[in-house]
Amino acid sequence: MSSAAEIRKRILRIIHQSRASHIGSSLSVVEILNAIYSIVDLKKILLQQNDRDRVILSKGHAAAALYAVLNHYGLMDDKTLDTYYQNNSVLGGHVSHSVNCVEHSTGALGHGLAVGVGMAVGLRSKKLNGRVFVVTGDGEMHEGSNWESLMLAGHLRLGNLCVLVDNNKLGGVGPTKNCCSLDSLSDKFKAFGIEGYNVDGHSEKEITDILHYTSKNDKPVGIVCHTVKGKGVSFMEHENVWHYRPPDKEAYDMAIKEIEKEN
Amino acid sequence: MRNVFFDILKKYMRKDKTLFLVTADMGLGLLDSFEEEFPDRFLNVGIAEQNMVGVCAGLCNLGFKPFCYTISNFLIQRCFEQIRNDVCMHKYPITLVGTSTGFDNGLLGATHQVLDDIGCLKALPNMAIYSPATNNIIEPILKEIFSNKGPAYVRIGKSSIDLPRNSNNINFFITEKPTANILLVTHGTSLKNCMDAADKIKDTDIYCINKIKPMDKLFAEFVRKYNDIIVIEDHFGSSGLYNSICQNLCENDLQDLKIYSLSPSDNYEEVVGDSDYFADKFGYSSLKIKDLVKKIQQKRYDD
Repeated sequence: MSSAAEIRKRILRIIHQSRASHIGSSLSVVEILNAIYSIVDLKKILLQQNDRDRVILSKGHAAAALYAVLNHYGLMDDKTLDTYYQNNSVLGGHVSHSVNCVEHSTGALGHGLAVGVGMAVGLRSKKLNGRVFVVTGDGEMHEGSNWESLMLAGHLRLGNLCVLVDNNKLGGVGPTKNCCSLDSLSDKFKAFGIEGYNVDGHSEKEITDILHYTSKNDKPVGIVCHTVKGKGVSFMEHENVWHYRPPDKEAYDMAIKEIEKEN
Repeated sequence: MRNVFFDILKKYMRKDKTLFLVTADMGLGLLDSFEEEFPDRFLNVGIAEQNMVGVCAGLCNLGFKPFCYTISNFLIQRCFEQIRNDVCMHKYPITLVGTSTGFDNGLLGATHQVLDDIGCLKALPNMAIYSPATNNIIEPILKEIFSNKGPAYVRIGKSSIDLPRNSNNINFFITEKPTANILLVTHGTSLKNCMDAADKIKDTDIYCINKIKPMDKLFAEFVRKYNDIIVIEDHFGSSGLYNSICQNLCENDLQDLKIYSLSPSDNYEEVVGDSDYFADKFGYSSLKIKDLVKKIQQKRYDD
């Protein structure tokens, strides 16, 4: 079974058993996070060395995906993962820096990019080699604060900064294009002095190829990852009801069966 | 006071390589020398305050201790969520430096009258709030901020009082007479009006609260000896120092003390004016402070 399928099963399990929300947003970002963690130096992250690569999941409501990925890469043990969304656990429904190896708490949208820009400036100031990866949602790009950060990142030519947009095209209510269109995000990036790319956000190879290709960049990188909300579970795909609805026993069993069959 | 603050900061930036100064395009003629001397530890992010605060949080992740500077009306309210989530929640050692407070820029209109900044920040856990009244207290405040290792706000108004402190505390008595039974309590630029008023009246002390949060622990101990307390400030009393002192008195069973607030009324003003105009309008000019003290003294005499 592919690592993405394993991670999806973990996400489904912890969201189902805790009756949490945001399953659709978590399933769409799996390959993006998996690609990032496959190329970073995990040892430096574990040891919290200052020249480590830094990952910020700015769409903090996909915490289940991040925690499942950390677990997959040995940065979080199974017992901790199983406390997701339980009383007295540090693993809440949004990303928290109280969790080991998590750089920054998120949950209010439009915060992660500014913090990522600060990290990239700090790495440059200290002449350290690490890169900063910020993962946002497409709906999150409605937040104006992002564009302040992108403007500065382009101006400062922060080649150590990489923004990956999980472009699943659905917001909280419906398609993002219906409320405020986010067409040609990569062109918008380019206009801000950022190298813009479009990839299949469910192809780890496409994502990692660009991450490797841009590793010595002299400009920031913006990768629009075209994804499907609810990816991997046919009855959840493109269905925005799964933004909030937790899968019950029947839905969970069906989802797991489908993932095991397909992989 | 602003120049004094930045002169001292520069001195510390030379010694401490973790200090980093970030501005949102503010400080004409003031910060050029920082950019020249510390090219790797100075950043002007443009007129983008939310981004500035987030960038400072990212710098903390690398081990820097950023100073985040613009005028207070752009620094606090606009960035409230960034200050809450990215700074206070992470307990990051970011010092927010806000200038042009109270009615310093009163003639520029209500958007630039900063009367609610302390109230906003008081709500946030882990945030220390300073409102220095004298030039001499700036360095002790900075030393305290460095040793506390958490978020802080320094509210820097337009004033310049040189007055050595007579105690090791950040808060201290400006005047303390054995016979005094009325206490003027103030912070920031309002100290000047208090000093001018007290100069002409007897039996009145002045206590200067340069640190608003956490609240002064000694206050409840010495305040018992007074009959009346007058809190004077260029900030809404309902969420400013007056509010903190009321809470402090209640928590220490000191409800019998009579307390007065001389501060801007709870409103955004439609007319403009300078700080002297508003101090007179809201009753905290030196003359009006003196009038209230005399009234209290007269009432006591009549009783």
